[in-house]
Amino acid sequence: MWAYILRRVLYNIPVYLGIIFLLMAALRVNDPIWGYLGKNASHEAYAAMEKSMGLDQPLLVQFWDFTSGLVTFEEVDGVSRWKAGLAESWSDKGRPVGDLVGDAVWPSLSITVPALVLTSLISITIAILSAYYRGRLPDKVMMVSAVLGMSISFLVYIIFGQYWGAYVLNERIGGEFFAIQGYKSDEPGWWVTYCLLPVLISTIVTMGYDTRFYRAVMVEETGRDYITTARAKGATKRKIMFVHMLKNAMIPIITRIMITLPFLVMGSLLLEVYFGIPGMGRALLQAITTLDFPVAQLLVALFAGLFLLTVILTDVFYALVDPRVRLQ
Amino acid sequence: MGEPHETLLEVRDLRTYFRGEEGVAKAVDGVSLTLRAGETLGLVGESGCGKSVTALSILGLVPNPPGYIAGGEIRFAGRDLTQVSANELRGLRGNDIAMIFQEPMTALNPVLTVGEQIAETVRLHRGLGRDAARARAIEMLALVNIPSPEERVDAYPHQLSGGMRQRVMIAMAMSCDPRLLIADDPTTALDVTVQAQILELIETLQTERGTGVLLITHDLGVVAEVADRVAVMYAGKIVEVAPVDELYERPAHPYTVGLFRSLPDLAQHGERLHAIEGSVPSAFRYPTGCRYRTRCPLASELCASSEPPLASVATASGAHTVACHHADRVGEL
Repeated sequence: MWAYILRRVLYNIPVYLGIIFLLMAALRVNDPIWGYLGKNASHEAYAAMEKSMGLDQPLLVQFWDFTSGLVTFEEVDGVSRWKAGLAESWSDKGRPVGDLVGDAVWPSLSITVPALVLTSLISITIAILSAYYRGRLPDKVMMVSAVLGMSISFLVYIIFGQYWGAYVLNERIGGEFFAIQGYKSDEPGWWVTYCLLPVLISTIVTMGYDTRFYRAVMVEETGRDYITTARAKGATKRKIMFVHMLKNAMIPIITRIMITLPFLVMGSLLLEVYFGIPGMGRALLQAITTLDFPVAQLLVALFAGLFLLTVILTDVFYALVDPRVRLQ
Repeated sequence: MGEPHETLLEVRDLRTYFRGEEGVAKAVDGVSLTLRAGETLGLVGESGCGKSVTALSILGLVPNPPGYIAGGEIRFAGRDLTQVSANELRGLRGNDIAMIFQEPMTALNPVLTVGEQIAETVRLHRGLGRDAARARAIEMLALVNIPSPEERVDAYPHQLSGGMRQRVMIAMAMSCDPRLLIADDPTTALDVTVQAQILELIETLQTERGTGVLLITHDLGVVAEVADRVAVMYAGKIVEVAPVDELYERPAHPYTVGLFRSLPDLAQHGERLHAIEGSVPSAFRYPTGCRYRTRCPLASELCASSEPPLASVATASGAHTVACHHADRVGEL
């Protein structure tokens, strides 16, 4: 198993380097310094900035500096620090980009991870029931609800959620149960106040899509011969659905969940913006709108890395759930 | 274990229909058959004649919707299986009535070990614990002649050959000592040599345990080898029932004669293979009268206007019935 994982990691290193190279080249097509300083900037200011960021170096040298920085640590004031994170943000002057990104990870995760867990559990359960009652009333009700839920815009859920779920509710109970906006992680019960409402909204929004996908997976499994065999053995409905079917449906389920993992870390842009949560999505949006080149560069590189990591993890999980997947 | 010759299963006028876009498909349309304890009844017919649906109906496994039992009785151990509750039927399945399917490649769950799959049945019906069930699984694997069963019990289906998988299916089916075993074309997907081994295994287990076997197949060779009696099915109906020797010596239905003619004969080298003219009628629209008349060389006007009932043929056994207006002329064919 470990040899298999190591091999998967080694295969993906050149892929990652290739992606970083392309991303770095793409970020430099439009000169980031002119973009940031504006067209009236002096040549001196331009040259100073170019030098400080190392943008005057050939692309290959910059590539080497950046990629080696991703895997090296440097002593700064007696503390070992990640080298790629030491570059300074342009818009948040003097702040190392590593700190900026690091601070944004936790708020993002405290929304996206619970949302994913909740959505997956609920939608897989609904999908199993729906597939089981295929063509009958419970199935139809659940599928119509799913399509209905999908057809309403994300923004509608956010605005109505903020109004009814936070504003009106708080008026009624005369306190703050759900905050309309904001994020503080140092109060007791902060997660319920600031995160639960966005989590619920995100769950409702994604549930429709997930349920329909998982239902299709389950329906395919219900038609398989081994299901007839299990029924002929006298296995109970519950055992057939949650042991026989679910175990076979794990491959598509894992694929679906793993694809969303990098997006979890990157946060949900709309939720973070509307609820004022200082997560990764908002950080990336801010970096782009303020033309903060070092932050943007680090974020896209991280995102690419996360993506490859989930690809590797997906393969590992396949091998764990399906005995037919060979480790060779 | 029932007394020999005691009636184990009696199907009376069974009708299993499927709702489809074009109307109702009468896959099984008035099938009657009896099976005694310890006996092997062969159910023979072309693909699509309703033999597998008959088996699924007995177990209550017809997918609903679109399928449903429109009429008839299935009497097993004093109860009518078309009337019992779903839970009661579930308790019978795997315990009193077991089934083997034709595709050992897909009939086993690919992500569970064969041991787990055999153990599931005994845990369910015998209430055995994990270890006892595993021991029973190993015992069953040994019984169906799988070498080194202690190791194979942890194998996944893809690690076994087709013949081994069918042995596992048999082990699973026999693990609770069922009184009735339904084998739906258990040998089609296997090599000829393996086929013979599997049939022999079923036969041995049956004589040891006095199980009644309903063997569904399209292969007359298989039937000749293991069946005591044979029921020939055509277009949702039984057209002829006879002890196996009599059926082979003196088939009384033109369709049965056609089936025998279509068997390749190694002695008649170089001759064209005989085929029955025409094709099986659609289950949505059967012909009036006798359903075989569109392909029958003996068809007359009588055949179009009235449906022939199953009637006795005068033979030594007295157990030979046929549904044909012109059974007396079948000898001319």
